[in-house]
Amino acid sequence: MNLQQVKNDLLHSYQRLWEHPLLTLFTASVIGVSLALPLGFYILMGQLMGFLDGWDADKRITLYLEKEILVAEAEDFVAAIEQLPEVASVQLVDKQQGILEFTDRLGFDETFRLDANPLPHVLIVNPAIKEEQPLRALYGKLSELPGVEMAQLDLEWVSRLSAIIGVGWKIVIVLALGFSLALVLVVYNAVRLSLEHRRQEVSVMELLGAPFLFIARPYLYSGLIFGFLGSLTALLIVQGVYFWLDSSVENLLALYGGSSTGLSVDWLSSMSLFCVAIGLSMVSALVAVYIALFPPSQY
Amino acid sequence: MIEFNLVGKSYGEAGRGSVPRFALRNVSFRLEPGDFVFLTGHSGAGKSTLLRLIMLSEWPTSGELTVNGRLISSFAQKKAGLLNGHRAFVAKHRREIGTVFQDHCLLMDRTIYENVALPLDIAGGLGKREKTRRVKSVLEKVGLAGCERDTPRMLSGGEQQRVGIARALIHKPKILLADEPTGNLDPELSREIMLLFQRFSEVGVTVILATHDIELLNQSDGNQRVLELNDGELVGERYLGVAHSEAAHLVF
Repeated sequence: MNLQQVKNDLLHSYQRLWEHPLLTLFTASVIGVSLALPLGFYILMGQLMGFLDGWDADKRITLYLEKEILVAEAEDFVAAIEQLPEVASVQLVDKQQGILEFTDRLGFDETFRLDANPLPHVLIVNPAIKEEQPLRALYGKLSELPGVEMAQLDLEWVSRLSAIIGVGWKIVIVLALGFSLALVLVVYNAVRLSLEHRRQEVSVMELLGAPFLFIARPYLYSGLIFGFLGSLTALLIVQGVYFWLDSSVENLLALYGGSSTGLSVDWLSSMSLFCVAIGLSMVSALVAVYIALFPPSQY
Repeated sequence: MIEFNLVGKSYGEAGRGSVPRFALRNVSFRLEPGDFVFLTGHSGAGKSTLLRLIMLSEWPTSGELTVNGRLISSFAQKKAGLLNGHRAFVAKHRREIGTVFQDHCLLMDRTIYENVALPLDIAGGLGKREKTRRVKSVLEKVGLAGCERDTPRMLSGGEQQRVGIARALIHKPKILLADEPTGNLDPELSREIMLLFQRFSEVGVTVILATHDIELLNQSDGNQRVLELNDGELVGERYLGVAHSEAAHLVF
């Protein structure tokens, strides 16, 4: 086998596929849709994971001190808590600063005045740990300190989201396996039909002593072309849907204090998609030719 | 070398009220490299079956057949052998044989060049320049120079026959089998094709030509051998130019 032979076979396979353009486009579309769904979910899950990881970095424990605590006492609190090994840093937001941020965030101007400042001093503790259990232990320890009115660690919804993402990954795997099987069957059937149409050609090649791989090669290239066209279709579908969804996802993540890096299929995922789709298509084509040339009845 | 030793071929099994049909019975002969043999007999005499046995399209049901040093003993070998090994064995065997088929067996959507070059492509290892040279040369020999870009659909039956002949010759096979190779050709062209076959036998190719065309035998130079088949049995064997066998009248 030389390069010229490969080129000729590829060209023949390409021409054969376009002898039946509708069938080829239909097959490529089915493969594209089969691949688009798991790919789309995969990228979406990746985006959510990124968001969750980013949120992890900002995990903080907020301590609301009792109202009677003075600023000097609050500063002592800061010094004491910073001594803990699980703590990276502590920030004091005194009640004066708190009310300023509050009015600023709500958009009130300086004509808005309260008779007395109802806010307590607040300590924002940045833990040096990220794992959930030690974080909960630290939270428990800090919330029991004398002088702490209330402590807040909002891990619950992150845990839920994390669990949902875990289920999501499993769904992606199931979808990928299911639709890979669909791809295999679609390519197998397309190649089988092609072989049926070219039964006489295969017989002539067998009579001339062509080895199995020589007969199978054009069909392997058909599988390669189906895989390529299917991957391309899947990419176009996913990119199209993401283009449409991008601003909505950005808004949604912004509501939870995150930001989207932009929904798109990265190079690595694209290359993986092409490799997997082309590989599966070629294997399916090979199996189709094998079964046609070695019917199970011969075993 | 080809050796038939009491080779038989039957279809169907005995028993349950059915009787096997014999296509060949106890056929024995031996051919050396360079032998040129006409296989004659009426329709259904077993000529095509004999050719199919040599190229392993079918397997003998009895006796021993040796082709190019390969012993093909019986139908059991096919069943006993591993399927892949069996197919590889058959494919390798066929690559050493050039066959001119009665129904041409051309790939109708390929060009004449691609059809003729197919055995070279299957064998591999030949550069494009050498391949093109060989295709042009063999097409010239069969009177089809300049038809490389045509497809078989554009050619007459006789021209398609000649493409089949060119394809059988291009890879310089050790054995050349031809089933009614000149059936669609005019007498002048038939004579040229016969001369071409003779030249191949002179350089050591074993040529076996199945025909019922008596004119074809008359065009030969008298050094060829004739095997006469009747109802699957070898009923006569002679050299052209030597007295006809007693069974000749059955054949012609």
